[in-house]
Amino acid sequence: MTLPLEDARQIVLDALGQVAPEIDASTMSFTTSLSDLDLDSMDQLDLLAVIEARTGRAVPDGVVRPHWGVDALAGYLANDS
Amino acid sequence: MGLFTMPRLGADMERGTLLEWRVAPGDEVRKGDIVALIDTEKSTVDIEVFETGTIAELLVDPGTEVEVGTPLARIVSDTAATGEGSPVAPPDGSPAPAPLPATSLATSPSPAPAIAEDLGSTLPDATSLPVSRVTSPLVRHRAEELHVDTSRVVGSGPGHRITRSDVELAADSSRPGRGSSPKARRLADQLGIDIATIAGSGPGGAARLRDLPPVGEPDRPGRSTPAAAPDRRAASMRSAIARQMTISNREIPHYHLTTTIDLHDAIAWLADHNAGRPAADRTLPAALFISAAARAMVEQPTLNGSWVDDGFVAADGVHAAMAVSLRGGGLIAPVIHDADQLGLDDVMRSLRDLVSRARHGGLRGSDLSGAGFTVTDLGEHGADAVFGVIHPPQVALLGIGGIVDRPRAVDGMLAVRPTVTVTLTADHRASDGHVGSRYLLAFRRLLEHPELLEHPARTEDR
Repeated sequence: MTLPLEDARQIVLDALGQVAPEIDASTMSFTTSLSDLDLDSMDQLDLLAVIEARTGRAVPDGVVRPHWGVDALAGYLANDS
Repeated sequence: MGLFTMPRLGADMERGTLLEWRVAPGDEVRKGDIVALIDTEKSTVDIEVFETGTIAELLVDPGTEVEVGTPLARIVSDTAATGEGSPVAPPDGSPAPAPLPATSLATSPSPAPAIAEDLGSTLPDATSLPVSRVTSPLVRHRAEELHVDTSRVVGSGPGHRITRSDVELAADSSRPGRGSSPKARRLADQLGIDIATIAGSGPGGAARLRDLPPVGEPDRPGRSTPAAAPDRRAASMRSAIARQMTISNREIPHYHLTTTIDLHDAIAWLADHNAGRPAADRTLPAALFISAAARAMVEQPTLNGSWVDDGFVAADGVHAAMAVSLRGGGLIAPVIHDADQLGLDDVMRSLRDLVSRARHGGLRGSDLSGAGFTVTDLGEHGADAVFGVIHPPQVALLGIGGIVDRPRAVDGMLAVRPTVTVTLTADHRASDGHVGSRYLLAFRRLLEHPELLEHPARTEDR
């Protein structure tokens, strides 16, 4: 089943809002890296857990890189579906 | 009959504000039940009770700020273990309360100032309560220097002993503004006024509400106080960290030992460990570091404990505090208790749970008490190595740098391997470099054989 990029981005943003509600998604760049958003490895793991629960798909360990931003992660979800 | 008192959640905590009662008179409570929500300089914390019984009376109104050790409620105990009138203190190494405080920060009409009188008749003998005391001549001398009345200080050391840090924190508390009423401080915060600049009408120049300019709505007595606003929280946390770290650098003769460890095997083992697991069940290198740090501590117990009254007091278990940075600024150090006895997945679960609650709320009093040492991992934030500052009265801190590819000699050949630089910071009063070096060797050995960390430690291993 194909996951449109816009839907994938919304899933990532929803997960981000759950893991780090302090981050204002309306003002951030979708290319800003997860690290620059001040998400550490624990936050990133939590982000993936939320995404996996939401999509029902596994995101293998090591796939997501700290320099990825919202769009890169959404792109992975869209292209890997 | 027991007294449920304002707990000390860390050596730097002097007072707390009762935000909310979660129980009412007549409610039955069991050991571990959350009975109140309190606000400290660093966070809002759920407070558990440490006995089973029935709430007889609530002694402090929500919104009241009181000193550590102040009775908050009376509990009729179901067990005979707690003597009548005995404070109900956490059994985790955090200090039991001192006698009824000589000075409560609460102001009229909140009930705290009357507590001593009210409870006096219920207490069979004031001497049955634990008394904070000074046993060190150096601490006594310091108290005299700073004009601190030690009878009004709640000791943070084992057996309620008053440490030099307690004395210096008490002296700091008596600065202008710090002795002012809680309502005056809140109003000053709202108005953006530095209360230390107010020449107050209270004792010793302490600022009272009437010393500040009026605002629209008066502060109603007994009204629940919301959790501190983020900017106020950040400022008070910064202040608490500043006091504690200043004392640490002034008082503790730190020494640092560092080593760089090849993580090739650990990273490969962890990748295998995580393979096929959902993200919710994966383990991070940070859990490996904490687990290795805790188990290595078993071999060098003089790094695990507190320096109190010019002597080392060993911790009652290997309880590892983890420095957790908060996105709004500042840090907090929740504790994994008995971390040496946990398997790696349990360490990771505890780590995940505590970090989440540190950042999003829900920490309990017991989560912040009893640490024997601290682990701080700043590698993800770009640091190659961390030369930390010990959190008194602890005597050691392990700093973890980033995982970095470095050239290494492997079997006589040059190879590029993932490595981490680890720095032990220790108190030279409690241990020497030889002990620290052996600790780092044990830590390295465990990381070179991460499979040793996978399962709970066997008794014979400890």
